[in-house]
Amino acid sequence: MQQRRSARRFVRGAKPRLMLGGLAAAAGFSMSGCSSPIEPVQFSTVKSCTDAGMDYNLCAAGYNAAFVEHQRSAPQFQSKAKCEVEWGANGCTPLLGAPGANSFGSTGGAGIFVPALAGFVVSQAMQQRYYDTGAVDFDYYGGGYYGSPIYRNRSGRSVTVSRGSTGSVTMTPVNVNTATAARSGFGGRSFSRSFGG
Amino acid sequence: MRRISLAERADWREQARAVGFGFHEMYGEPYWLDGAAYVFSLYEIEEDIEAPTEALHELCMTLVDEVVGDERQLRRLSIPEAHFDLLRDSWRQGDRHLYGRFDLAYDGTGPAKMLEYNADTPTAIFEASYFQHNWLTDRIASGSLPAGSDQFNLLQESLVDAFRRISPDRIFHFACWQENEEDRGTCAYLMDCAAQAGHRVEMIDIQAIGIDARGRFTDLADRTIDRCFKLYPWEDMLREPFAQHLRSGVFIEPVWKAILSNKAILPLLWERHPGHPNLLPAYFADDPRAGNMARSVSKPIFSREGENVTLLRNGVAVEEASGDYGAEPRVVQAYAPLFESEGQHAVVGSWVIGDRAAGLGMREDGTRITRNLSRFVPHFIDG
Repeated sequence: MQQRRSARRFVRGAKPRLMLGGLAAAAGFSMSGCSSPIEPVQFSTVKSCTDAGMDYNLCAAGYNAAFVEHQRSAPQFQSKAKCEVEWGANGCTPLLGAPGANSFGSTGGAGIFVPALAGFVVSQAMQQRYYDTGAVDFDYYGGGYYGSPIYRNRSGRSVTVSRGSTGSVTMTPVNVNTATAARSGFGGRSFSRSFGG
Repeated sequence: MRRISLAERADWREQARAVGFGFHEMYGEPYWLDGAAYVFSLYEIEEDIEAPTEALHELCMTLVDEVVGDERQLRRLSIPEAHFDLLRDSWRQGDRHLYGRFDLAYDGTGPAKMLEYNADTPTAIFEASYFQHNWLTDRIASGSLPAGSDQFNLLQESLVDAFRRISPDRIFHFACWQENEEDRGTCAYLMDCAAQAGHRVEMIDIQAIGIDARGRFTDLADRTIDRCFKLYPWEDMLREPFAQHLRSGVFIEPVWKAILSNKAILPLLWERHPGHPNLLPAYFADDPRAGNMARSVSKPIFSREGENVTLLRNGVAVEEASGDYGAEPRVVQAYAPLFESEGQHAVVGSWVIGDRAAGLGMREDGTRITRNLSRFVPHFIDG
């Protein structure tokens, strides 16, 4: 009665991998106040990346991934003027490949404008994989990573953009340095019991 | 479906140690059982577990959409009134969720029945996703199981994939109660999956989270926390001092999961889908129908790990688990027998990653109330 309906298989041959050295090590890095040995890094150009001592292939891959993401998801404006209202004078470029744009970025004012790509992130995972295997395709399970484009807002601060479900675009400075005023505002109620389910 | 015994892998303790899986023993008792297994047919997995899991998840998501804007229903769920707007914003802005685990009663004969949805702080993911996977791979390699044996386990690739859908444009903090080895290990495992998906990750103790003068959450290096996984219950976070600073878009699981991890969804689901093959009749404790069931289970709406769960016969308690949740409002659910073999009662933990059924983990207990001393038992699919 209960026969295999198909050749469907869930588990493939290879064992899953861990990249932070196991559960104890992963937790240990941050508990001791150290971070993992490889830090993600931000660069404005491929040259600044190689100048910092990173391999060219890694820098180029980081830039390319950011560029692909930029082309896909940068906030778009119908004119240069509208874009500059949000992103400041000289902060915008035509979207490459959009109707009316040429490779020199000259459109005579028509076409689609986006904030200029100001930099990119070379993530921990990209570096880890590159140093482990030499690969820059960053493809574990058949999908690619997001690239991480960096933009400059009107006041010159590095920002990333995220898109709400309504299509609205917010500029978000993230992980900015600040001063902590208080701690221990979470964790009091469950302190004495485990609550996993 | 059946339970079998087989010889333990000779080196499994070394493997556990090498990977930091210290909680294979907990409270001085074994937790991981290497020398036993539950065996399923592919038909049982696909028709009785995978498909119903996705159907139940969809019912749950529809329920969130309905009740998140309905103050009367949010009150029935004991959500603090001050946070009604927060839940609504989080849901409407599409705050992403990562994972959840349905606990199902299933014995291989009738349809699987939903006991509850651990949609907020589920544990046992490392065991199911990683260590169970290795168990199968080793056994096939050593010839202890036939080469055609399989396992319902797409967990790690699904987790990495779900993390990859979240932009790595900021530090991804992972907050948990670090003193607890199981919580810390679970958090570390998920953090590893996030790192594999390209995120910059850092762990922080839930109590170490700070606040700055502008009401932004901060880490130990005085940086703002802009995205944070937390293995800590929303029903507690919403009632703690920093709750006033919560906003949508920061935490995963998102705050709208406070609706689903709540056992008050059991009567709400039954109200909307009476007779659904994968649901058990369930009522709020003050509903007269709650006392009319021959065999039933009374559960506090926020109880974890089986605490304060009571088995009832014609409304009278016959078996009761102790715990810290005695004062919570309760729901009463019809009793569903668990799979029973060799004195063990087994619960099917069916995982949802993103919106997809992605694998299962079996836990068994000597009593009919699955507690924190339950044991994790690997499974495989007959080739």
